[in-house]
Amino acid sequence: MTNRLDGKVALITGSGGALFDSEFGLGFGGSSAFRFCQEGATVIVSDINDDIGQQFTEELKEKGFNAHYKHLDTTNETEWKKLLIG
Amino acid sequence: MTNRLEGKVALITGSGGALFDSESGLGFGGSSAFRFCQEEATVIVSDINDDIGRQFTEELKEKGLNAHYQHLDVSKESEWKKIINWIEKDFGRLDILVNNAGVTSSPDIFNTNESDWNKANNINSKGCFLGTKHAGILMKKNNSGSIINISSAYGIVASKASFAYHASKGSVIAMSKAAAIQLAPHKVRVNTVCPGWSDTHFTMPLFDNPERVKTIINTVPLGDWIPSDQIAWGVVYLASDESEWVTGTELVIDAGWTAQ
Repeated sequence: MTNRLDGKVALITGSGGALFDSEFGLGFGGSSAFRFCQEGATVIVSDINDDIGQQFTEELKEKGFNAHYKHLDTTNETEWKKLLIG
Repeated sequence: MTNRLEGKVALITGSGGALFDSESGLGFGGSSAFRFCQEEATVIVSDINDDIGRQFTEELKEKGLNAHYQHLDVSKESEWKKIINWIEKDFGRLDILVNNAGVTSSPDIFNTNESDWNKANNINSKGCFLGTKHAGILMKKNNSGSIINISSAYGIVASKASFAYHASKGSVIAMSKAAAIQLAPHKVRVNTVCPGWSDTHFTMPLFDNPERVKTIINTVPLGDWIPSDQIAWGVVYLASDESEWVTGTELVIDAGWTAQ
C-alpha cells in the first residue's frame, strides 16, 4: 500500500458487480477500485446493481478504505448529471 | 520511494550520458536508472561515455542507491556477450533490460548516405536485437524477465526528414513483437515505449531556434515538452510485476501527438 493516488477523487463505473469472495474475482472495475483505494484515492464505486455495489463498498470500508457507493446507469445522461453535479 | 522493483537486477543501455545537474536532464536512460534505483532495483548503468557514466553512477551511490557501471557499445555483439557474462557471474540473474541507447539522424531520404543509415540502424535497431538476444539467453534460464525497447513516436508516424531514424525506430517496434512471441514460452516479456517530444539532449539543439520550438509545441495536444521522468515511469511499469501479462505491445507516451 503506497500513495500513488494520494488526494485524488476517482469515479469507476461498473465497479460494484462483485464481492471479494466472488468466484470470478472482482472484475476490472472492482479490482481497479481496490487498487485505487490502496494507493490512497477516494473512490466512488458505481453500478446498476445497487445491492452488490453497496456490499462491495462496505467491504472496502471495513478494510479502512475511503470508498463511497452511487447508483449509475451509464447510458442515462440524467443520471450522469445527477451524479456529477447533484 | 517504494519497492516496485525490489530484488530485481536491471541493465539500462545508454543510461550514463548525463549527470544530475545537466542542463538537458538525465535523458530517458538516466531517468529510468534513477527511478529503478528508487524502486529498489539493482541497476547496471551502461554507456560508451565511461567518464560521465561512472560519475553518474557515483551520484546514484551517494544517494544510497544500488548502482554499478559497465562500458557497453550496443552495436558490438562481443561487448554484449562480455557484459551478460559479467552480470551472470556477479549477480546470477538479469530481470530487466532497457534497450535505451540511441542516436538521431536528421537528413531526408535523398540526403541520407550509407554511413548515416548504418549508424542509426547499428545503434537503434541492431543494438536492440543484440541486447534482446543475449539478455534473452540469460533470462530464459530463470524463466522470467522483462525487456523494454525504447522506440519513438517517429517509429509510428513519419516526417519530411529523419529518414534513417524513422526506419530504425519502426524496426524496433516490429522486432519487439517478434521477440515477444519467440520469448513468451520462456516467460520473458518484450515491450516497446514510444516517447514523443521530450526535452532531452537529443532535442536541446532545437532550443536555439525559438520559432521552431513554438511550431513543434503547437502540434502537441497537451501543449508542452514531456519531461524524461515521465518516460521513466512508463518504463518502470513495464519492468515491474504490475505488467506481468503485458507483452508485445507499445506504450506511447507522446502527450497525444500521434492520436491526431
